[in-house]
Amino acid sequence: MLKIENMSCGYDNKKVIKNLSIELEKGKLYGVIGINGCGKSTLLNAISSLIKYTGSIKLENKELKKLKIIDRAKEVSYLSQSIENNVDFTVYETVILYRYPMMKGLIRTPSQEDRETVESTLKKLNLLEFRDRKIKELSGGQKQRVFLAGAIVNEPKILLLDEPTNHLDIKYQIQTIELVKKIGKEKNIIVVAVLHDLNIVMKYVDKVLLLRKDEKYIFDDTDKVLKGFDIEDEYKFNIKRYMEDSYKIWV
Amino acid sequence: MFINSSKLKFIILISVLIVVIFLGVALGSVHIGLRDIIEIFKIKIFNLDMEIETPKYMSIIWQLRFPRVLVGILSGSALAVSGLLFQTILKNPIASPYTLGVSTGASIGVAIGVILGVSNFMLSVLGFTVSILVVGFILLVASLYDKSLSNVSIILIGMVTSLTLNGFLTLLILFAGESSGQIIYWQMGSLSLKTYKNFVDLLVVLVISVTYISFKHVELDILSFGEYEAKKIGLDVGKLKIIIIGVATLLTAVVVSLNGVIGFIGLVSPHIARKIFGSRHKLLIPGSIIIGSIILVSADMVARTVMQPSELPVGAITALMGGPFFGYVYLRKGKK
Amino acid sequence: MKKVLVLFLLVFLVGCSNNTEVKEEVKEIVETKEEVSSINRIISTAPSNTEVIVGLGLGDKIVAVDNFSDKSEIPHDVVLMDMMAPNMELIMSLEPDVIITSNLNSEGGSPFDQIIDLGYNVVNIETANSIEDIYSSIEAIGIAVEKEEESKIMVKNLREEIEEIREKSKQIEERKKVYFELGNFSGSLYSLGNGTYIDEIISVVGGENIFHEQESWIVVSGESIVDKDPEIIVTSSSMADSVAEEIKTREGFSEVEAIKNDRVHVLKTSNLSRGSQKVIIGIRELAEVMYPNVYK
Repeated sequence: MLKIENMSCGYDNKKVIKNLSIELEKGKLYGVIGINGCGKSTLLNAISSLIKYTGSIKLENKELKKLKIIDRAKEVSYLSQSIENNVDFTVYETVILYRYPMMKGLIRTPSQEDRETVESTLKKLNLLEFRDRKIKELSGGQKQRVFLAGAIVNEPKILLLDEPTNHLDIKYQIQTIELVKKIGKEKNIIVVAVLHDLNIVMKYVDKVLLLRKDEKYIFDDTDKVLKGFDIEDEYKFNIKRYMEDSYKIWV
Repeated sequence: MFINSSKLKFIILISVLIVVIFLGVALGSVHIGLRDIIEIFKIKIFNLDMEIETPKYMSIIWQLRFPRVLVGILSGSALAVSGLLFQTILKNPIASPYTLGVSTGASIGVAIGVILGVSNFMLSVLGFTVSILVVGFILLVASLYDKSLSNVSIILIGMVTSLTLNGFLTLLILFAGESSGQIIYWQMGSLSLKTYKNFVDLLVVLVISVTYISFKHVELDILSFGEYEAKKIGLDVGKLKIIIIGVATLLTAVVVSLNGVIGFIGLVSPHIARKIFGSRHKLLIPGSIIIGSIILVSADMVARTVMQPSELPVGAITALMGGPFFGYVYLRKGKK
Repeated sequence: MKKVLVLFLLVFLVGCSNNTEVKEEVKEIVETKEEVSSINRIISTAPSNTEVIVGLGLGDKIVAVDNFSDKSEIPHDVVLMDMMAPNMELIMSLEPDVIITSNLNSEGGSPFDQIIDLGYNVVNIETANSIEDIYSSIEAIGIAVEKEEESKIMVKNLREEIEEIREKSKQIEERKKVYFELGNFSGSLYSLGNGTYIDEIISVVGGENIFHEQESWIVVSGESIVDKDPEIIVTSSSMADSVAEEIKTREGFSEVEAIKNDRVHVLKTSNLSRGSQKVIIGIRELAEVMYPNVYK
């Protein structure tokens, strides 16, 4: 369980998130939504200790900011929107680098266990056929799967995703979110995804955190949040009506 | 289908290196016939108790050329590895071992030594000391300016410091008056009169450094994804940077204090290694070493033969290689 | 015009009186001549030229020199200047009657061009590339400081001394091969070939510069020295012992004649490096070091 208590964080002395207190459970898929600039990425950065936070974020009673970088990397994985890619590693070579925090020994190099975990992860994500292909040559969706493999190969307890479906076409969007949800359940991981597409949120997410500028966070079941008043107030947009109208066009 | 094509590439490169070593020993400002060369090698390798026909040729080949080639191999290796490390850490394909001011620092140390009239050995010591101080200074200031020690900060502080120090160096050269030629000549870099002792000293430093760096090849690969991503993967990027820059600086400072400022090798060898071997440091480290050796020993060979019986400083030759090389590589891409 | 008058007087006086009187008259005239010389403030920018000026008796007229000139025979309060980047205002404030420069001071355009344009009397002495050049330099300086007669005498003496040595060298049956090292700077070996007065001096003294076929100042390779196998190695340095030791133990040189026969000599004087009348001191030392039996 991830327990966030009175957590505040931000950049350059300006707090973007103030006094957030929520609890997240294993095996569930959480969606983080909100208008631009409300702090979605900031939240993920704080949980992964990439930025400083005040207050507490405890993973099974371990305070995350007190962990060494490498120990934190064993617990928390963070999949970004896009990853710099001017290297010519193969799929296998890439995923095994993500296994780094689990590598043992004074000199961290891959062991047999590391290699086996990578192979099984590639298999699980249907990447075995691309094992020795350069990631540069893959399509957007395939690349995404590779970095998703990297995000779970270190057997984390928390998986953070920052708009994982942004730049993918619709088939891959659905595929990714379904895959992520399935993995979360199977491996009992807390999955937190920042999402823009409210349809996807509605369909797949268990609980929604709506971030708002004035600390009036809403953290509740998806249905209640998306159909509630607060979200319309926040987005300044009648979402429910828009979705209903859209549905009519499609039918 | 290439089975173990990396192995094949290494075999080819090592063969080229062996040929270059042989040429480096066979050619020079004095012409020595092939028969004599083979005879000398036979005597030395098989420890024969023969009397050589021309003892002065034995001196030239075994005591002047061979140690010089050996020092060239190690110097080229050290510069290549250093260049590789700087390019990886600073994520800058045109970073070189001298990006952080090692060469300027060493030149200032040597300039001071020349003005004071110290011995050649002290010149090396001064060069080494000042270069280390300069880089230490840059890292310290950069860390005060930017706690996270980002590459932008490092390069910025490095540039500002280098520019200032270069101005200072110009003043020193002016002040040296008649001896200014010495400083300028030293700066061009030369492998002349390098000894077996130099070789051993360099070997110790190189072996220790390269072994240590090899242990970090996974970390270096991870850095290729960018610092942000590397931190997510679990790398203590700040600490790693300082260690790697430290090792790279040490390698460069040792080579420069011994030989002067030999350019181009550290910049170009990693590039060529990348083209041949890709991005994995497990291959790039040994690859850069071999390529750096080949280039430097070849350049030194040219330096020794092109203006007999004079010798050019090898840095003058390597400097001339830079422009055409990059022109060929990068302009060719543009033509498409 | 003044000279003609003096000569006329001289002739007249010689015709009218005995020798001692003439000597005294001449001395008086010479002294008078000194008083009316227009050269009272001299700036010298190079050590060899300074030596000549001092040798001509005008040491006390020097108001400014470069950092490297020998200051032992000139006034204590002489101004020291960096002659690669001379301070024009300072020069002007010293009101020199003549500035003797050396083409060592110029790197493509003399730094003194500016002051020439302002009308100051600047006389440039070209670097001596031969022994004749040294003679010409001395005479040129003599003219510039109005000591032409004295400079001619100086050249005559120098010429005699050098020819004396050249004569003695004819006794030498076999000319020895010499390697003259100007310096070892971090492995770069500096020597010289023809077109330098030191190369000529080596011949005069009876030796053969192993790099005589090369021109001017050169950087040579260690192997070419080993190949040419000189019988004598000469260098000059203030750190004589360490320099000699370094050459004797230089790796790769163990088979060289000069090393095997312990003929590595470090000159104690630095006079060979200056093309003035004192170069003879350096020449003598070189001669004695190379052929002690002939020249001692």
